[in-house]
Amino acid sequence: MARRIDTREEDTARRVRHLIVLPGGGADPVPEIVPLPEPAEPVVGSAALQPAAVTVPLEAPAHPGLRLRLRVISRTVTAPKAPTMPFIVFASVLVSLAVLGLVVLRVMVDQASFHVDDLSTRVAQQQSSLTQLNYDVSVADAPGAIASRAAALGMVPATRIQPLPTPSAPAPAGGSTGSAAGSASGGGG
Amino acid sequence: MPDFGSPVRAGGGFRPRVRLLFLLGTMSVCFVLIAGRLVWVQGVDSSHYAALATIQRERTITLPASRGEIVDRNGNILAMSVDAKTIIADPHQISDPQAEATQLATLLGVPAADLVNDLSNGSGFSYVARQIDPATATKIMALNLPGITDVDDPKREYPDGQLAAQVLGFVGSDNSGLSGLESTDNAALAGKPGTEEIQADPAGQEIVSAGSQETPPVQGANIQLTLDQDIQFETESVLAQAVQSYHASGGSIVVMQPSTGDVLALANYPTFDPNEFATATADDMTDRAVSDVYEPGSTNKVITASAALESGAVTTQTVISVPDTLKVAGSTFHDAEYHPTLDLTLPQILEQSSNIGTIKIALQVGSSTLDKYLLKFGYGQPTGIGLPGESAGLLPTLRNWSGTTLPTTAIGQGVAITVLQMASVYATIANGGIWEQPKIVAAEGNAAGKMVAPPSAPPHRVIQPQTAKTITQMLLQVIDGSTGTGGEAAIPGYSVAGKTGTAEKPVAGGYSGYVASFMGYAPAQDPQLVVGVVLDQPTPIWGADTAAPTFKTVMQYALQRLGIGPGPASPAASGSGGPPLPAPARSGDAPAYPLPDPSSLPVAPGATD
Repeated sequence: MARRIDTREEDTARRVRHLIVLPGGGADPVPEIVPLPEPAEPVVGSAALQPAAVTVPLEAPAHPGLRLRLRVISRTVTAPKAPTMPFIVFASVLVSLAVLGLVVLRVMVDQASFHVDDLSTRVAQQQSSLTQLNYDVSVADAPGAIASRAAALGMVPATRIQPLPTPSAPAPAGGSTGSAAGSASGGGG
Repeated sequence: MPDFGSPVRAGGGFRPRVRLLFLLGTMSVCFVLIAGRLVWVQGVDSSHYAALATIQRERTITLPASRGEIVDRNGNILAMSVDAKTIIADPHQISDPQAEATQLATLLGVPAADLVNDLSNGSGFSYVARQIDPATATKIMALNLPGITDVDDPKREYPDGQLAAQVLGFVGSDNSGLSGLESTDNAALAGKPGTEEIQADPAGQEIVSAGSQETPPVQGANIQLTLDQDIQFETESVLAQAVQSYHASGGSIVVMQPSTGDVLALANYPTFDPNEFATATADDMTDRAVSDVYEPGSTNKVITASAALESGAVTTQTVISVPDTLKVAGSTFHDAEYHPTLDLTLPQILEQSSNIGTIKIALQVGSSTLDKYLLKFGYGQPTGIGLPGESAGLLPTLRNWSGTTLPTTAIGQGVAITVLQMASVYATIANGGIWEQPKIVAAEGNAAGKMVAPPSAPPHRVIQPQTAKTITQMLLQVIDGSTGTGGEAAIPGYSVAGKTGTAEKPVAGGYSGYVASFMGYAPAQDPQLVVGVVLDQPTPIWGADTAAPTFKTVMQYALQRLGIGPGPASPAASGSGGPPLPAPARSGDAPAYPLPDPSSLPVAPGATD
């Protein structure tokens, strides 16, 4: 007795199902072909290319006692090839532009790195020059250097220096350190 | 169906399946070996190979930390680091040492023959020139000589030359402090070097675009001293002139502010230039004022007088009979000069610097009291100024005092102190009896970059204000009194308090030579400055003739430099500021002063003026 196997339509737009009823138990060797039901709605697009049911004849089992099994096979329906050249050209251009952009960006970054390195070197040189100038100023500003220069110019240290007492008020006792105190007491310098 | 029965075909050779199996086995073994090696390299020993790759590619450059500056109290630079380069060579990479030496010699200003050996010594490293200026180094590197490279090597410079040389010290070629404050404050001054990790190509050139990782160096902290550059210079000049004029073997001068303990000048002679320290002798580099001790002689008598007044052993009115010799514990002590027995008060004893009078007062004070005051004034312990090699001085412990220790100590023999310690004693009296720790470092840079004062010992009272005032009155008489020994220290217009000292110099097995000194402060009624002068073996020997005029020159300049006026009239002259001092009382028919020329009289033991 032939068995009828009910199948469900799941994706008729993409698959064509073949329902083949195989003889069970070897009683009826002739398979019964059950046509698939029509789709509920017309299928559009490539899915409309629904092939007709294909009947695959089966040979009689070599061994009558052998129980045949059913399985669902499917076949992906491929769309007809669209023109690929534009896409390839587009993709190539896109990739080329991306690569070129990356190269340009990298070159710019590298150039900036060299520029930064150059600037860092210049900053270090300027800093070094500043330090050297500070040192030169300190050397020229040293009391010994000033005394030598003064002596070379014919100056001599003052030997008779006396504070001038103010008649109105006595000078502050001692005062604080610094030039301000010196001017206040009249004895600075 | 193929026959697998025999691996060998009839025509010789192996069957294909056998060959395939053999090949499969061989490939499997190879694959296992490769896979095992891969696991070993990538997994087990990956860190080692990663490190090898890092070594090949990465270079770590040490970024030297700039050493901090040392400045005076007004910000004038006393020590600083300037950028410099050291040229090094890898002789292995130099194929023509003669040619390179010729090119280098032109820029370095040295004979080419001196460089040839450095460039061909067979080692992988040699110095060509150390710490040269960066401009010259740039010119050398522009030559692109094989095997020649440069490295940063900052150089320590002292713009003022020998100014405060012993205080500042110097640094070695590795920029580490070797003496002076450069040594004691090396940790703060040195900073911490940084590193920069760079990517380098096989030739060793930095791949700039590869970036770098930098750990910046921590710059050394600056140190501000209490020294005044101008006063220090003048003090050193005066000291050098005094040593040469009086044919002394050396000397020291300390200028202090008594109210703060700030040392404004600390001069030693002989001295040296820290920029050329390699040519200096150990004697030149010794900070005599803090490291060398001397027997203070008569300048020590203010402590005996203070102890006497504080303990109530005597008053300023107490009259003491003073002969010119006195025998104590079997030893005979003399005054510096012959005189008949005099009736003197304590101020007169101090004015005339009588040894016998001082000893008689000390006998009334007692050993324990005198020892207590010596300790309170800082004898036998360093001041803690923070300079290396500071001496604590020599003060016998009380239990070891012999019968002659009291009289000798009372007149400043048998004990030894530094010039700084003695200046601190007079600063304490000038400060109304309050001891302030002498300070040489005013501020140090901290981690936050701010200048903060280092910790110091808290001030403490040594003698009562009235005692300090009375001692000041006595010291005024030393300068202004008709019989005072310190007339040479008088400064026109100013009231000066001070004391002369002439002490025998101890040598192995006895005494030989003299140390002349003068300690004083001004203006006496409101002391602003203390100056201590010590000359080693001058001619003439007397502090009154050598140290006192030296004191006057230094004090006069410092007063003018700091704008310190004379203040009110001298209390001794006006009668204000303390009880009037009694007139000299003479015993019998003693001749009036002045006494005979002291230099013509024998002075021993404990010759003090």
